[in-house]
Amino acid sequence: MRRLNLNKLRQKKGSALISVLVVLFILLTAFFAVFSFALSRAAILEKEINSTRASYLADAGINRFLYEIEKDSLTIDKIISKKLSEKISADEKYAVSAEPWGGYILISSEGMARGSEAAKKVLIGLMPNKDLNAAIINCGANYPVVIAGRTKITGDVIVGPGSITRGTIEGEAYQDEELTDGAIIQRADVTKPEIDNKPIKEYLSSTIEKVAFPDDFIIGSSVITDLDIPRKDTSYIIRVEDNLELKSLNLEAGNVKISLMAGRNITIGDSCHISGTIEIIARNSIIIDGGSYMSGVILAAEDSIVIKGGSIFSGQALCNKTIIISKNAKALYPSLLYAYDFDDDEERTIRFGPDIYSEAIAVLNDVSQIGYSGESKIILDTNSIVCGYLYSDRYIDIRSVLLGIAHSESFWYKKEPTTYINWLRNVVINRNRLDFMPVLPVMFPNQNRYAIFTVYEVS
Amino acid sequence: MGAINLLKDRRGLTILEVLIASAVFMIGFAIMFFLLSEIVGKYSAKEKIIAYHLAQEYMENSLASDEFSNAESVETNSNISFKIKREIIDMGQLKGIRVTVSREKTGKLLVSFYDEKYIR
Repeated sequence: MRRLNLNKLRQKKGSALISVLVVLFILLTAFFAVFSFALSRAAILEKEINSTRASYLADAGINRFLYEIEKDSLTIDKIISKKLSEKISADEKYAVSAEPWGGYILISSEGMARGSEAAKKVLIGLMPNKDLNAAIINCGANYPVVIAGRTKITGDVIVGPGSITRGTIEGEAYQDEELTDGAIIQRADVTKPEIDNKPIKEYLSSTIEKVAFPDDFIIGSSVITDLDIPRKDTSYIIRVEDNLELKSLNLEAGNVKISLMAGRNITIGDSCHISGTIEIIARNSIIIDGGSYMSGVILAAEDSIVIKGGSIFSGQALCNKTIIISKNAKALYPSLLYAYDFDDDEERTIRFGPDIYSEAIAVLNDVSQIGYSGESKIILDTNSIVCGYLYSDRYIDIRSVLLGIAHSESFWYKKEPTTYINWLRNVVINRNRLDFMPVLPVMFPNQNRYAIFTVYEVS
Repeated sequence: MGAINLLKDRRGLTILEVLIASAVFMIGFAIMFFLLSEIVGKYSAKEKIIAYHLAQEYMENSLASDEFSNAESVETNSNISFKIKREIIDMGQLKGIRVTVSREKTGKLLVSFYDEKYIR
């Protein structure tokens, strides 16, 4: 019998096992690669689903908030102090809060679903009452409106008693006036809406004060071409002592509230692209030029706000004296141009044009007691197209096409040496061409239904 | 003679070795197969993606429409049957809308969305 070489056999023992283990190791590696890939895909998908869930929950928060403030007929002060938090299920909840944001109220809702969060921010204002279906509302009690010349109005004309309208026209060329698709409605209760400017006054006082008496500021003037905002911050403020210039700046607020302030002037140019919950506040003036684009922002200045040079604006412009949209600029809906007056006797002007397109709501508030000698007015200059709602406590001077609603104490036509007031002459106003119902700022307290004015993109 | 010795040295595997190796391989393979089927069942991206899109579509349609009522339907997509359920929580002018999509066979919940709509 041949003797077994035990040593050699021992050396070869378990060689199949090693081969199997090697194969298994390779297979396991491949398997875990596939497994981790599948897991990461599943995790990404799960995260996306939860993010969408959170987004629906944020939307639910906005709806619940609107429902509760209307159900309880809350005043602006109570809306602003209201906090809402709702747990829908073990892993679903939302929290909502409100704050003043220019002439509107900013509602911020945060939805949370299994670790994912999504925010939604909307601006709410007031739904106009049925009067705003008319083309013209003349609320001047002292002087009746006169419609004359080659005036063409499409829509209702609501005037106070004693107004001289079609049929009893004074002045020249009265035969050509035309009123289509509407009626002249004489009403005894056509009075000026009482504008409660307390909310905006408080908002502006606090913001202008931040510029006037800053805790900390950048000394001198500054030019900003780029801004890196930390996304974890909820607010970000830059204060400059004198002038601030924004050049070619690309800035999206996302979920952050950004305030850019200057002690004197702010100029925005060279194709800036600025959007989101951003306040731009200057003590004196703000000029937007050079094809810049602004969306959702607030501009606030005491002396003037000028939007020109092919720039596109969508947001709120709040100014104590003069707001001008000119030189191929566009003001797109949702926009509010608000010339405010709290206590002084200065004249206010909102000027559209020449050569502009606007869908903005314009509100000229003049509480001064200077009567009819003051010339605060909204002017629609030549070659302009203005769609929207225009309200003036004093005059509206229409020299171009208005596709919307003119609501004023007086309309304006002036012919030297004789001065006429409250005339509509050679104008075209077409209410039917306004295809959206403008959401009014919260200063119009006689409206009691809220509506969404702006929806912010929050990433 | 030397060549014959060398051949003798290259002996095959013992039965014991083959049996152990096979057993280890089988156990390893079985574990992998089990885990793989678990993954397919639990983390099937395809099924979840379809359910996700179905839920989103139903929610958007529900928000866009003015009719708020409970509804249930079965939809087959890529040979997978899904049960879609819309449940309305009536709070007067405020409606809570819950849309769920589950696997029709097992009833396993895949996606659930909740939103509210204020009806004026």
